[in-house]
Amino acid sequence: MSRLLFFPNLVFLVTLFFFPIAFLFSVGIHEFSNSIFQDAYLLYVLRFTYWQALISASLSVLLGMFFAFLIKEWRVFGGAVLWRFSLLCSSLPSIIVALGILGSWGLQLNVFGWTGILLGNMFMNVAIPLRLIGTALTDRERSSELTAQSLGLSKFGVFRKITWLAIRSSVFSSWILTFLYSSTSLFIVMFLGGGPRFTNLEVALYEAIKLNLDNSRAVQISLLQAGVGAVLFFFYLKLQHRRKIQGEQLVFHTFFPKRAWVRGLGLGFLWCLAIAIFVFPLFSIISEGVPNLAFLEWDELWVSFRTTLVISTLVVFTSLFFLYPYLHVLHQSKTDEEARKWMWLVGAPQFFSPLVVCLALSVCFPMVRDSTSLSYLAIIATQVVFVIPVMHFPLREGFLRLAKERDWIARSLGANPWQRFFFAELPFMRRSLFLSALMGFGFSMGEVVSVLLFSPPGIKTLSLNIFQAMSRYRFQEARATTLVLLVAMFFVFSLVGFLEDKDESSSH
Amino acid sequence: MNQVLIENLKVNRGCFKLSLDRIALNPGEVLGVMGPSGSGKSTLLQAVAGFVPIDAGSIKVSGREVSQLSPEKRKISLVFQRPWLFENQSVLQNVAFGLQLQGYGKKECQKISGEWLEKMEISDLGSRRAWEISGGQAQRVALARALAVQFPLILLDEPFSALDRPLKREMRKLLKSVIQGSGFCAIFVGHDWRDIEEVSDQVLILEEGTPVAFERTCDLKTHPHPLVKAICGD
Repeated sequence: MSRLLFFPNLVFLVTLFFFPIAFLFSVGIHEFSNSIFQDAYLLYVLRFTYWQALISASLSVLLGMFFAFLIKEWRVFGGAVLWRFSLLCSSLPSIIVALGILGSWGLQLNVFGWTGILLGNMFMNVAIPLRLIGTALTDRERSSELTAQSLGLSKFGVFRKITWLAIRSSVFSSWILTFLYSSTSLFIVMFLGGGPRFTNLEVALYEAIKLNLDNSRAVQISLLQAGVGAVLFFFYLKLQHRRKIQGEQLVFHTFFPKRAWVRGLGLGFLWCLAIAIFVFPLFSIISEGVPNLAFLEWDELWVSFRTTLVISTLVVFTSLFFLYPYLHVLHQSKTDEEARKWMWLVGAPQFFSPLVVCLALSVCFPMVRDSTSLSYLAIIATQVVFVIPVMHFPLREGFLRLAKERDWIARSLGANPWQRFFFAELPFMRRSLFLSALMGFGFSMGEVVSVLLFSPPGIKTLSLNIFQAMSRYRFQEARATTLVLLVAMFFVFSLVGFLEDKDESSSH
Repeated sequence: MNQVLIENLKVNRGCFKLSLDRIALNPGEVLGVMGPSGSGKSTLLQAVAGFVPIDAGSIKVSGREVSQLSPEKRKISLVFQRPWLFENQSVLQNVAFGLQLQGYGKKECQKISGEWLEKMEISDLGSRRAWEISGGQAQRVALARALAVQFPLILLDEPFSALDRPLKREMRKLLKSVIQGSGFCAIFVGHDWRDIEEVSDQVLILEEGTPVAFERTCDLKTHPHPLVKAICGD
């Protein structure tokens, strides 16, 4: 009977994500003509999109790996702060990042073009390799490294023969994710590209939907995007394996340098890069936002803030309503293979850009733009689709840590499924639930695309306000609103960081 | 009539196979199960409790065939190596948990739970939260929780292996006296011969899913099986 809980999420994702994407594919293939490949501009855009994504992803992964080693192996000063801080940076709306980079580096060097795009993409994406590789480093089995070293293998040999094998799937999967996000970055390229020479497919898609109102071209471009997303998703799934939560770990850092000057050099490099990429842009948002607070109309801001809160709260509750029972049923499945067979469903939406998902929904259900209430529903539905992949991570971790023995004891004493849920599951999942909700809330607060495409006239959220102010060159208003959104997100993600630390300490 | 009767039990889990011909336990008797890692000791407990499906055979508890029942209907309680308490509840609530599920009234639950806490010599801990007590105390609470429901069979999966030696000795005595006094049966899985020797009346030794010895504890003590020597040392 409890297996029925599996279906609401399945039906939701199939109806509002898989079916619209499949519909978009079918329409796109129908309308697809070779003319798209004879369009020299589009071919240039296609080349540029994946070329810049390749460079951005490679740089981000190299940097993320370097950071992960320094934080997890060298235990450099301030590493824990940077670890926590990286989550905030990756969840900030790209529009805020663009504004931060313009405000900081725009004054020193001409950021428009390659420099701005690479800086922006690295700001947004370094957290992915940092966290994935960092977690793989923490969870790896260290005793084999100790044994190999005691048998005379050099540190480089240990890395090549043992450590690399333990972390390589995280390196490749983080590269795939970073490549995908870099190729679909909209506002970074739009505001930091500086002109048609630096346009990617996502910007071309936005122009086709919003400016040229050319739905046929938009569908064809999104078909290209979605095709690449599907291929990347396939490779990503191949790299996935169910992670084992290790029990007590050996406290031993194979790559910890003995010489103090080497550690000092690492610390210096880490913080110089972190300041250049993360701190400087964020500091510029604060320093330029505070004096501009006077330009804000507080009544209007309050209305936008309230709308943002209402939408984000609804998104979080709806996501949990669908996601939690789904993961609960997967947790109860008899084998890991059975669980993995269905787990990919919740991760799939992150491989399609928000614009493609929104376009798919509006092509499949054209009525969503006809009435205000349906527009709201569309905003919430698309945001739920976007946050489900984000929110499922902490919940899955929570379920992995849940001891089946406690459930067995409750069952043997005669507890029914509800009693087992309330006594043997929920108390131990509370922190993961809260963490997941906070992460979803933070991501939803910064989401722009769905609001931009579906919001009825007169409805504003904080992120939409920033976009509109920037589009109309009202930079003072944009900076002040950005500061408000940044403070709100900082609050949410500080709580996430705090809970993550508690989670880690309670699991070891 | 035997209180617990397991006959022709067969369990297949991939390439691992467990098979047992006959195990019979009278009221108050404890069966100790020993064997090297991977010999099927925990699988046997999980199959009897109903968490691993059996392929053939019968499991009778108090004359009732339970092999086709779900775990919650078998009336078999469990204790593991770790206590796995419900941490958001007090010690008393933990012990009363099973009683409430069995339909006892609130006052009755409190009374019986209090008595079991007294038997386990932890009556002063009743109002404490589960995370406020030590490992040894938590294991006593887990035992009290499993025994309070007065199910005819209790399964113990290495319940003392996380405890230190003096505490183990104390717990062995306590468990033996409680089981003998109450008339329950128990299956006790362990690695330590001293635990098995003191607690069990019969001993089953498993190797790769097959019984290699099934004898009275006193007989095994005088003529130790080579596998017991190998596991425990001379």
